[in-house]
This record gives sequence, C-alpha cells and structure tokens, in this order.
Amino acid sequence: MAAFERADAWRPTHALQRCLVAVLAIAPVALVFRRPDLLVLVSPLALVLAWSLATRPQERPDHRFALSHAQVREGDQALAVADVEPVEGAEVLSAALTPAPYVTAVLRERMRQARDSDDLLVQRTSTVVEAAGPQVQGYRRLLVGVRVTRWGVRRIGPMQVAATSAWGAWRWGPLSMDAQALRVLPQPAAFDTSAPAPHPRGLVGMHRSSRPGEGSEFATIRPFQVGDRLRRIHWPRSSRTGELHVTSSYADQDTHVAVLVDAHYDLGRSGGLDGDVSSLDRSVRAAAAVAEHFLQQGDRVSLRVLSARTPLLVPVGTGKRHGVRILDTLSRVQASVDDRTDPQRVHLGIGSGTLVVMISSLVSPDALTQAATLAARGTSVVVVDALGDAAARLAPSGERDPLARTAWRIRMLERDREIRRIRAQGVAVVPWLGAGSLDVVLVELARRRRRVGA
Amino acid sequence: MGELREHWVNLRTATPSHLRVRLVALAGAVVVALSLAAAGGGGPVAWGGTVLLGALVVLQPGGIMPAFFLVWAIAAWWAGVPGPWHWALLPAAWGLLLVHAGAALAASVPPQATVPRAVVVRYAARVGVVAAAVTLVWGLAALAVGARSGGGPLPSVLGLALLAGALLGYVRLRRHHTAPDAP
Repeated sequence: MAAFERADAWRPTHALQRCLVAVLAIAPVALVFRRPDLLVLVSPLALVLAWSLATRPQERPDHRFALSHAQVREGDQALAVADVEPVEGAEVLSAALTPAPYVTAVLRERMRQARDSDDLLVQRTSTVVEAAGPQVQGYRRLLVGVRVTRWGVRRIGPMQVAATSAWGAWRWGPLSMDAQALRVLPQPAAFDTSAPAPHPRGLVGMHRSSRPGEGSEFATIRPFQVGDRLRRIHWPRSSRTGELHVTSSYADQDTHVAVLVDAHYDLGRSGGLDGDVSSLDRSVRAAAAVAEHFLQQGDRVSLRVLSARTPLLVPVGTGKRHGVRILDTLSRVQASVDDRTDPQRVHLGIGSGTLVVMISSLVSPDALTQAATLAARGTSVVVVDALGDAAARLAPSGERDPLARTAWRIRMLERDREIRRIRAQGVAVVPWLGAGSLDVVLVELARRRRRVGA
Repeated sequence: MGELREHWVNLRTATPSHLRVRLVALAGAVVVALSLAAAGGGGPVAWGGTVLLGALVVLQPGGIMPAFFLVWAIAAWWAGVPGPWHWALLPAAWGLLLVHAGAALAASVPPQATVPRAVVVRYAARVGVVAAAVTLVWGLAALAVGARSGGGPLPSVLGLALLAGALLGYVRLRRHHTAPDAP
C-alpha cells in the first residue's frame, strides 16, 4: 500500500537529484576557491535544476486501462489501451505491459532477442507518447498491440503507467493497473468433409433424407397425386404415357451432431498457435472445426466437455451465434482428471439417431468406455484421437527418468490394445489429421445406416 | 550482478530511437574529454576515464552513473586545468549538458519503447535554450575574469549568500508541496 502511495505521487528522479547535488557541491567550492570556470561548468545543471523546480507538476494524473476487444480468435491481435490524464507539467507518458504466457507484443521496430535475469524473453510491450497531443475524452491514449497465440481466458497485464516532467526531473508512477481478461476463441483447425452425416432427422439442413419431401435432390418420377405442385409435372413422361407424372425429391434435412471433448488430460507442451501442440490444443481446435463445419451445413450441434474442473455443456442449437457460443465454451476448457465418476453411469443426454463425435487423447480408458456404451445403444460414434505427436514424447521432467519412460511406453501399448478392442465393437477411431479426417468414417457410417434401413 | 545483466539486456533490446538518445550522452562525454584535452588539463587517464564513464552512462542512464560522470568530469577539470577561464569551458559545459539531457530522457522512457520524435524535438529545443544561456554565462565569466582587479572576498561571499538563499527557497518550496493539504 505504501509502495502504491509512493508511486501515485510526483517524486524527484536521479536526474533532479544529481543536478541538486552537483550545484550544492561544486558551486561553494567554486566560490570559495575563486574558480569561475567551475561555475561555468555547473551552470547548465543549475539552469536545468531551476527549470525543473519551476515546472514541477502538482496534480496526479487520472488513469484507466481497458482492452480493445472482449474476445478474439487465436492468433488475432488486440490493443491494450491505457488512458492517462495529461496534467499540467507532465511531458512524457509511458505505458508498459507485463509479459504473460501466450501473449506476444506486436513489433513496430526491429529488436534483438534477449532474455532477462529470470530467463524470460524480453518483449517490446511498452509505448511512449508526448503529453501534449490529441486527447480522447480528456485523456492521452497509449496503445500496446498484443497478439494472443493460445485459446483460453488470457490475462493481459498488469499495465504499468508512468509520467515524467520537463528534463525527466519528476516522475509519477510506475503505477500498476490490474490485468484484464481476454477470452481467446480457438482457431478451428482446417477441416472439411464432403461425406454425409449418417442420421438426418430434422427438416432443415443440407443432408439428403431417406424420406421424400421438398428438397433439391431428385428421387423418382411418379404419377400425379392431388396436392402436387404444377411446376413439378414432368412433361416428357406425361406426354409419352398420356397420364400426368411429377418429379419427386428427397427432403433436405439436418442432423444432430453431439461433440464430446475429453478434457481430463492435457499432454505435451503447448507453444501457442505457431509452436508445439498439446493434446488439449488439438482436441479443442478439432472440436471447434467439427462444430463450425456442421453448423455451416445447417445441422444442429451440441457440445459437452468432460472434465472435473470445467464440466461444460452447450445444448443443441444451430446458427452462427450458436457457433460463437460453442467456441466461447471451448475457450474456457481446463484439463482436470475426474477419477471419482464411473464413466458408465454418466448420462450424456444423447438420443438415438445422433452422430457423436468424441474427441479425446484416449489416455484414460474412461473416454473409450463411454464411446463403447454409446455405440452399444446404437448411436453412431466417431472417436477422434487427439494425442498426436504427444504420444511420442514425455514431459521434460520425465525424459531423464528411465522408469517414467518405460511406464509411458507400457501405457501407450495398453492404449493401442484398448483402441483395437473398441474398433472391434464397431466404434470408428480416427486420428485427427485436419481436413478430411472424418470423411472415410462418415461415408462408412452412412452406408451402414442405409444397409440397415433397407 | 543481476542488476548489471538487466542493464545489459535493456541495452541490447532497446529500440534504435532509444539507443540514439543514449548515444547522445556518449557524444557529450567525448566532447567533454576533447575540451579537457584542448584546455591542457589532465592526461590520457582523465580523458580515457571520461569517455569510459560516458560509455557507462549509456549502459545505465537511470542510476548513479551520470552523477559519477559529472563529478569525475568537473573534478578532472578542477584538478587538471589551471586557469580561471578557458575558451574550451564552453564546449565542456555543452558536453555536460548533453550527457545530462541524454541520460534524463533515456531514463524517462522504457528502453523497449520507441521515443517519439516530438519528444526528441522538444528536448533538443530545450537543450538549445540552456546551451544559449550557458554561452551567456561563459561570456560573462570571461568579462569578469578579464576585468578582475582583486575585489576581495566580496564576490565569493555574495555568491555563497545567493546559493544559501536559493537553497532555503527550495526547502520552503518542497515543504509547501509535501504539506498534507498540498494539491
């Protein structure tokens, strides 16, 4: 508190103190020893001292800190905005943002890479403006551009602001302002599928239904019935047979895609959007991609996050706003093991005819158990393996421990066996490879469905 | 050691504009050293020490180093240059002003921030004003030295009294600003 009060006042700087000391020490010597040359030498410091004392600022600047955006996507830029009141006497205003994980500065000038005494990379997250410039609502605006490289709720700040007077003689601050939270939505991994969803059920969407109805996909030519639209009359067949015939089509229908994200573990090290990818990074980005893809097709999508810390749920919905809601929920995912709940007793609220896309690193057998339970009920389940490269690596702390390496290899062998077993039960398990990852599986599910329907 | 490393990291990661401001201080130190040499004061140790301390000001503009430099430079002049007046006093005083102004501006802004051109221009204008005033003082000193015919201790006593008065005024001003009901 005392430190805050000390910072929230105009204090003399080293520059003022050295002028004062130089004048007080050298001027008497010059006078006593009759050395006017020393007086000439000290005269610039005496003039600067007088100038500094005459222009000492009196008021404390008002200040505030905000972000330009409430939420951004991974890799996007945002502005940290510090507003400082340019009080009389203040000349140079500066702001500096405290570095935070996955928050990098937007460079405006070239800079050498260097690490500080805490071995942290020094970033250019500070800015300086002249107090006498254009104002916004009576404040001078200091902008620091930042780029966030990982999804989640990121802390931007604390922001420190300071002001100095003429000749850098008096300083106000640096005063710390609390960090602001910025929601960073996951950047959906590249994903596209041309395969149909296996269980279209509703009456909107882009998938072809097995039922006839209003739609764009041709089904057959049949005799005219009361109620058929005149524009559907097929004139060539009608004139040939002498009886009115119409073209019929399949109804365009939607499907319910339930995305389940297994967030019990986060394996591997995340280096942000441009660096290494952890298993949870891959899971979240894959879930975002799958949800965005099916929503764009007009399907209904729900989301469920399986984690002890953030058991999040987004009910079924469709549209762009629903997509943002899903991304927002995904940005709040935190990995935490839930070892107290029996996976077979968890009620996921998934009805028949739903396409379940479970995204998991498959390190815990719980996810596979839940997938098997759903498949046993007749639900179409696709399990996306999000472990990726993290399977080959251990945490740096475990690299040196031969026992840890052996234990990890054993667990990976067990995992392979569990995956083979669940495949044998009819659950498709595919590694996440980006675009087209689910194509083969969805085609197979749709074919199987048609065979069962026939 | 950690603090020294911080200064070194700050120097390495400083923006080009910030580095230019710091180099102004080094330029001032070189001017002081050349002036000292021109006035026939000191020797290679004094001149080299002046430039070395100037380089240390570049490394640590916000700490004690600029004060060390000022004390060193003025002490070197006092010890090395005999006369009460020399033409090289003027560039030496300008050099001291450059060192002080460069260090003060460099210490006012974070090293990783770009120093706005408007701020640099403002400082340059002020340095010009003070340099002009110093030139006036230098000229008056030349006249005083040339016209000096003894005078006794009166000028020194008057000067000391003036200094004491200024100090008293500063103390009163500071007490006024730090009073509880001060703005």
